[in-house]
Amino acid sequence: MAAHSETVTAPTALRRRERRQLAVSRFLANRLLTFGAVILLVVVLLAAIAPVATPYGPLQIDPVNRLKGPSWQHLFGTDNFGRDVFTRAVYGLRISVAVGFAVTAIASLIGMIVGLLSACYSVLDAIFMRICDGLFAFPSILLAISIMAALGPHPGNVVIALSIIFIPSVARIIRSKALVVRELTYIEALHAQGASSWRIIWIHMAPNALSPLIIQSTYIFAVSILTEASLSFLGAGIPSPSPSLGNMLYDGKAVIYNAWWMTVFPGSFLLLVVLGLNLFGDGLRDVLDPRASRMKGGRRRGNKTSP
Amino acid sequence: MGGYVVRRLLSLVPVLLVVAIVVFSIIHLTPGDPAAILLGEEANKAEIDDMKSKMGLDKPIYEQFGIWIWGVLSGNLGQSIFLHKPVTEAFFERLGPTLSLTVIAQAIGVALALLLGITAAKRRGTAIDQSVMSFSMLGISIPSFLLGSLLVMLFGVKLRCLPVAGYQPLSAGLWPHLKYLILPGIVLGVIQAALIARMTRSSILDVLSENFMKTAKAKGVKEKTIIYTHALRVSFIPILTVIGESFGGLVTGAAVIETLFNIPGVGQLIVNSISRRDYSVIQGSVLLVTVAYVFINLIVDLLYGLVDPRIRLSKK
Amino acid sequence: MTIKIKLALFAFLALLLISGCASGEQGKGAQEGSSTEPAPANQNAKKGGTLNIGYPTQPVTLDAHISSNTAVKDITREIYEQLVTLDKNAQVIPMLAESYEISDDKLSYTFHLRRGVKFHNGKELKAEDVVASLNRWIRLSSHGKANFAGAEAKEKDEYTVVLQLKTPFLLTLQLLADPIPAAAIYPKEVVDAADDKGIKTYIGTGPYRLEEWKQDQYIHLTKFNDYSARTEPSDGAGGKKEALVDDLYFRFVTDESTRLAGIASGEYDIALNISVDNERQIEGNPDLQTFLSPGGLIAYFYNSNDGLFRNVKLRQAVNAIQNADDILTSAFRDPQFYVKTSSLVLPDYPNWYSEAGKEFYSQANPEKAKQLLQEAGYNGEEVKIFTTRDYIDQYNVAVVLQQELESIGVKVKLDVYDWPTLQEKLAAGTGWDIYPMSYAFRPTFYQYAFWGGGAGLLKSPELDELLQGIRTSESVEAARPLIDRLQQFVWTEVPFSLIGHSKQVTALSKNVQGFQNILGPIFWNTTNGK
Repeated sequence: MAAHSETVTAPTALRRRERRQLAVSRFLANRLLTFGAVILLVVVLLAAIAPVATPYGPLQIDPVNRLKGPSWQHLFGTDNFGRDVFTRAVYGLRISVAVGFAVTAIASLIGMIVGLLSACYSVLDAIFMRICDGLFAFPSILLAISIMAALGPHPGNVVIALSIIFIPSVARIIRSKALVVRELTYIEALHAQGASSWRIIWIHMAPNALSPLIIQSTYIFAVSILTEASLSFLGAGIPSPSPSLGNMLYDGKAVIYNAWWMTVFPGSFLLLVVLGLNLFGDGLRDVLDPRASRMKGGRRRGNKTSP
Repeated sequence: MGGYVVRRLLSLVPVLLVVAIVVFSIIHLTPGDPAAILLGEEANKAEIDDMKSKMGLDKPIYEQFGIWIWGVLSGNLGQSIFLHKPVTEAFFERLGPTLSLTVIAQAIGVALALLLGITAAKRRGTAIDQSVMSFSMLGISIPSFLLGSLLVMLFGVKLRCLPVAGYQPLSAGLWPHLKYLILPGIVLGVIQAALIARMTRSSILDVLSENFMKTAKAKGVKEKTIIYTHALRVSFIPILTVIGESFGGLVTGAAVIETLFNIPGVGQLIVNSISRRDYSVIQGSVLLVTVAYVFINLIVDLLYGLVDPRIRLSKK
Repeated sequence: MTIKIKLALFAFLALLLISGCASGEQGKGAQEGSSTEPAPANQNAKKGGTLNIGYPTQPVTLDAHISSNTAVKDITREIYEQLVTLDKNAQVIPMLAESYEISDDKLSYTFHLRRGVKFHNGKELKAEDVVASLNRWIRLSSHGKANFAGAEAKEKDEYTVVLQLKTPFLLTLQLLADPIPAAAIYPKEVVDAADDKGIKTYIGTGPYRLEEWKQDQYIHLTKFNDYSARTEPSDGAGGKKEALVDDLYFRFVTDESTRLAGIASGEYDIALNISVDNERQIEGNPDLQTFLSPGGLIAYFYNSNDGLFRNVKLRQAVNAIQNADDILTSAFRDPQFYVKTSSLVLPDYPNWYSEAGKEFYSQANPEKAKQLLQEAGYNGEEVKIFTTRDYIDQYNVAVVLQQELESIGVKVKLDVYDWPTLQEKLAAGTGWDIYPMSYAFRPTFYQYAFWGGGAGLLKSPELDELLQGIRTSESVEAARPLIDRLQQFVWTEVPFSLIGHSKQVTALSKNVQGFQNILGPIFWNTTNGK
């Protein structure tokens, strides 16, 4: 997985070994990507075919059959309203992926704009970065809970709350990349030629910042799914009775000693999608940015997936 | 260096201002108020309005903000409505459990991470390496509360060997103190370990590929010796970064785990205060947490200089 | 060097785990030891020891006057006492009063205090304390404000207090004995030092005194050695009270599964508010026992003052689709955990129990509902149900109701808020149509708080007249026709649809003896044989 720089001075034996390692790590990298992609594909398929995959509705209650273990009628058992856990889990996957996607898209877009503007205008930089510092220092999950409490329980508000949390991390990464790009000779040349700064920012600098953005996005995708689940677990996420995975785990927690299936199955789905995204992200990083040092890591919210 | 520290501390001011405004406006925009909570489940609107005016919550919002910020500037974070004590006192009471938990989690995390990271780096490309990496991949993908619930099910209920919730202060004895923190510590620690193990492995590998390492190897120095004497030392910086960042994160971000394991820490204080709308506690704690976060990061940055004198602090 | 580091790391990790589980075995051994012991504790109640109570929420205050919060009631009643209290049949009996008389015009109530009753601070209870406390209760408590306007307590002599009313009130004693919000007697100094947001020190005459309140962790009560008990045998919340354990710890554990794990592992001796689904765990555990007691009334309330449900036909339509069995089984699993009745008061309290209007209860009649919808002119408007997950029974009812309504073609939106938000949204009186709500069990329906200002409750002269009639009746017997008429009114005008009454599940260790629940748990006269 590690990136290596070939050296001329190394003895041949060492170099051969080095090469072998390189091959192994490339292989591993590709495998990460494929493995991640396969998992994600399964997830997307499951979410897409949800309505036809099961004869039940996600909200359809059946009080007589409440809290029944897994069986042929109910593959993953039923919950405390007699709702089918498999159905809810599949729909939950759908909601989680949708929320994650929306958050990633919004946070990436706004984060990129903020980052690029900060890199180019020092006044904006001072303002934006102070706000980012403030938001960074604010514990993310608590910020999300408070925002949700203020805005009210609607799926759209979950997306807003989570986007606010992730914008600073994107903005910082884009900003630092853009600062490097800005100093490159060709940008200076463009300036000299009299290109408008608007054009320089959007046509020349933005594309250069894309690859770190894409890598960061896959992590944000993963972390936002996890954070949404944690929010729901604390009762402040996607409003119930919508079957988000976090809501299902919240419901399952109360009866965890009687109905393990209400925790284990939605939990595995959650693990699956986050794992897929993380693998995919790692693979992507190795392909897109092989020289990126693992040392730097992301900032707090970029790399650390557990809130 | 002194100048650097001063500048860093000065940069706290705008950050705190942003946080203060954000937290105040969010919390006062939130429906529900402490008067209704105090009066109980069966209170009606007239009673609640009456109590609100007694608490001064019927004043215009800017006036309330002015009163609060003036208090903060004069060093008074206010009085908790439900805890019957000053916010600072309530906060520092809760800092102990959180710090204990953080230290234990960090210790478990670092110990496990170094063990796994070094082993993986030494056996790179083998099945051992792969399983360590898979473990760490799982570790960063599992939500902490899920891991927590599973551990509770296993240790607390099936094996019954550890308490599943609660807290004893250190003054009650070392073992009683520790035993309540082991499970939550493991949950946070394992997730930490997953993160740091990846970092350790890759930074050791990076160092091993440096020229001086190759020279050392060529001179016949054993790989083990190289790893433990040189590689580990050099790779300490990135590891320290992760530890530092996650330490800050742990102090403030253990809210979910503290809630799940019923540990009376700072995270739980804030979560509880949000649910009972104890305005002054929420506002004050978040400010203090921000200060703590900035300080921890400052300390980590200063430590860089100690571990690796080449790093110049003045260059941000 | 390498080996050292590795060893140290391994040792550290291993130590943690081994130490954890080694001590675990110890704990387990001890537990088995105690449970295989012969059971002298059962015959001969063992005194002393500690009772650890896994309690769901921390009280918002320890001032019993101002709050109707359940946790406030359950904990303060161990610390403070009232002039009168309730026996096991919820009849009023004297407590701090030795006896009492009611004047013929029903306007003055004279209480003769017991002598030599000590407060926790060593001071003797005198009339001045009672006067100060009662007047504060009248001024601040919801009961006082709603029912005792203009009333005043006066000192007649050092041990006699007269409560002077403006108008006769049938339930005077009943409310003085009610634990929510309790007319607790504090020392006069405490009342004088208090402001309207609460008392500053917590001193009462009860069998337990406050030792320590560790915020968000526990409240520790200890036995009050100078407690002066009544001589009559214990009866409900009255009679002889004795602190049989030395220490009571109310440990605040919000998470139910944690309370459950705690009582299963022996950390708690009593765990409150166990859900019916988890009751299986208690039942299946030989070391534990289940204790059932009346929980409360559960109903869904309509916004009769604003929006769609001002139309009585629409309320009747929703009432017609109600299937109490479905809702009750969804929320409470098994008939042993609920009482299915159309009466606002349980059959155990025959004075107030009434079957009037029961033909409109749990009709489960979709045809009738659809027809009423049509008559009401319902045209696909969205019905907004507001609820909270902080009280899980209410949430469960909302989910089933949503499904029932959708089955007859009503468009429903279910909004789930946290409790403080819900409270504010409901109080606003607009923007919502229905909310399920549970009210703590009361032996008379007059005491339910919703009459005096439940959100959206139907405003009707007939209702006011009935309530006023009951208030001023000479006796419960005289009020009887009004009670039936009011019950009938509830089912025809449908200000709310009653679903039934829940039971409260408490989990007890087998070692715990003598536990009672009279409008909430009572921990005096309770022993722990552990």
